[in-house]
Amino acid sequence: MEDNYIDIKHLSFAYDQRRPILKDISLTIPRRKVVAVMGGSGSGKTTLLRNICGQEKPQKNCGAIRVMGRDMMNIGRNDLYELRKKIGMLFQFGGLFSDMSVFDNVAFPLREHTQLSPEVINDIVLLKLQAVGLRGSAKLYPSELSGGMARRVALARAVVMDPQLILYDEPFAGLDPISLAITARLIRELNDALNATSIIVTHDIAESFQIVDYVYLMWQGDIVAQGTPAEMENSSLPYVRQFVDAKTDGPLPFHQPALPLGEEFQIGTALPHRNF
Amino acid sequence: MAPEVNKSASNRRDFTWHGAVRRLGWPLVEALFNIGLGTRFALMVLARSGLAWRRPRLVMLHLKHIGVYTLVIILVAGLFIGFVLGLQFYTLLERYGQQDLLSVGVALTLFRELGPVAAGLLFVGCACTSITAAIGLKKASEQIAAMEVMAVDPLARELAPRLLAGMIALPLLTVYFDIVGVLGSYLITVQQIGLDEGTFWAGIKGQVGFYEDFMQGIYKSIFFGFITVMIALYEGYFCVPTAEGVARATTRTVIKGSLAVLGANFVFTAFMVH
Ligand SMILES: Nc1ncnc2c1ncn2[C@@H]1O[C@H](COP(=O)(O)OP(=O)(O)O)[C@@H](O)[C@H]1O
Ligand SMILES: [Mg+2]
Repeated sequence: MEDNYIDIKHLSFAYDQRRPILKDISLTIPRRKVVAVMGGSGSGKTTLLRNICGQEKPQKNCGAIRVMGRDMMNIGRNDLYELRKKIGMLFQFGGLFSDMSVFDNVAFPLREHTQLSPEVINDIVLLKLQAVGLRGSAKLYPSELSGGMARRVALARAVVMDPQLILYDEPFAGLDPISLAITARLIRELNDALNATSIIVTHDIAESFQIVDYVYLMWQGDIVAQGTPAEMENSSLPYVRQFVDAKTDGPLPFHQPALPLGEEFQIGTALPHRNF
Repeated sequence: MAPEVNKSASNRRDFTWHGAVRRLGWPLVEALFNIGLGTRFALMVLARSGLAWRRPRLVMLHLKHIGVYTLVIILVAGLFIGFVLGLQFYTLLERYGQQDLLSVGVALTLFRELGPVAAGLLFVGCACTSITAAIGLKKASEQIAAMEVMAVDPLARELAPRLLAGMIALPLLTVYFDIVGVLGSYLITVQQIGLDEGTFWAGIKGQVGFYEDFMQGIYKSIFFGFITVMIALYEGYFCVPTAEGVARATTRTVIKGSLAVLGANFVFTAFMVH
């Protein structure tokens, strides 16, 4: 129990009560592990991360979330902010501050939360930027970066406070193969150096299977499979085979839930009317 | 799930009596809800403005953004309004041979009403729109969320400094507007038409009070700065986080901000004049 850094039990969540996004999810993540959450787009991976860092709160009686021993369902504002100082998050779309340079973006958490001198902040920031290969771009603004560069800056910012829990939302999207391999290794090394716990949301099977300890496969709000990378590779579960081998047909539907096609196109109704 | 959507769409064609009540009642409920939400939001931002004094650099930065960029249009507009005020007062007073009172009329009009209101309206168009757009875009691009997740309160870091900057900037801009307006009427009536320069300045000195007249307008403008920036922040913070959402929020800022300036001005004047 103590060692389960994140403990989610029977979590259900919906932004809008008519459309459940997470359906009765349970997962545990032990300390010091790097865990991948995979699954099709729209299956609720980002939503899961948002629940873990308290950006979204499920309704009462919709399960339990414990993060670093704190009950996220009943956490107060001040406690939540204290907890978040120990969490680093890489946003799916970067979330870089457009009015600050790369350097100031990475320095932001240090300046807000620590009393470090400008010289020390300078050193820490440049080290982190060096680690993601962007020390030379410290003076650029986010609008002057490519998607992959912005993502790496966001990564540097996410880990600049040496967090104990790091959430990466699609850290590999838009990276070239070389940056991808380096970033993947960096995520693992950071986790081990900081004694942290990491969750990576990703679609990249080849690279992430090499660095993670455990994999959860989500599909449309359910966890349909889980296991170590080796177990996943050798699994005979049709879900896993379809995802890992990228097969177009199998039990995982490509389409989001929708009305039957015939009904949508109003085939068979005498007088078609629409609400435009 | 999908049939639910169809049902709510067909509510629009619901002509039963309870459908009618619902159509009438809903905007009322929504308006009350928004007033409540807005008040709560305003209190939350205000509660954090004390902290913003500890970030004077941020307040200065926003002061520069919203103050300096509005200054040019304030100066130009003030000058032109001063011109036409001078001309209109001249044609009016000349009929009665009372040109001596011209500078007093111009100054009182400007200081008490036109200065704060015109500066407020220009401020809404220049500064408040940019505040709404900036906050809305920060929300749309996850910058607000990123800040929250980094345990930094966006209300304290982004919103409160802008509010303070607005409440400092608008009174200062109003002072500029007043001064340039008087100068404009001086240029037109004394330099062009040839009224007596001594009478012009002596009128203002003798008849226009610093506290009763000039400061009355400045007090108004402090409140206008508060209410317009608060509207701008509210619209930006609660906008739909998309390009269209930010666009619509900006329009709403202009509408609500302008109406707030005009409405509040009337209330102020009614109380001050008795
Ligand atoms: N803020 C939101 N409001 C309403 N629905 C949302 C919101 N964010 C995401 N969704 C919906 O939740 C589902 C899961 O989204 P998300 O968690 O972002 O998926 P993923 O990250 O796995 O691609 C999607 O169907 C999306 O339409
Ligand atoms: Mg996502």
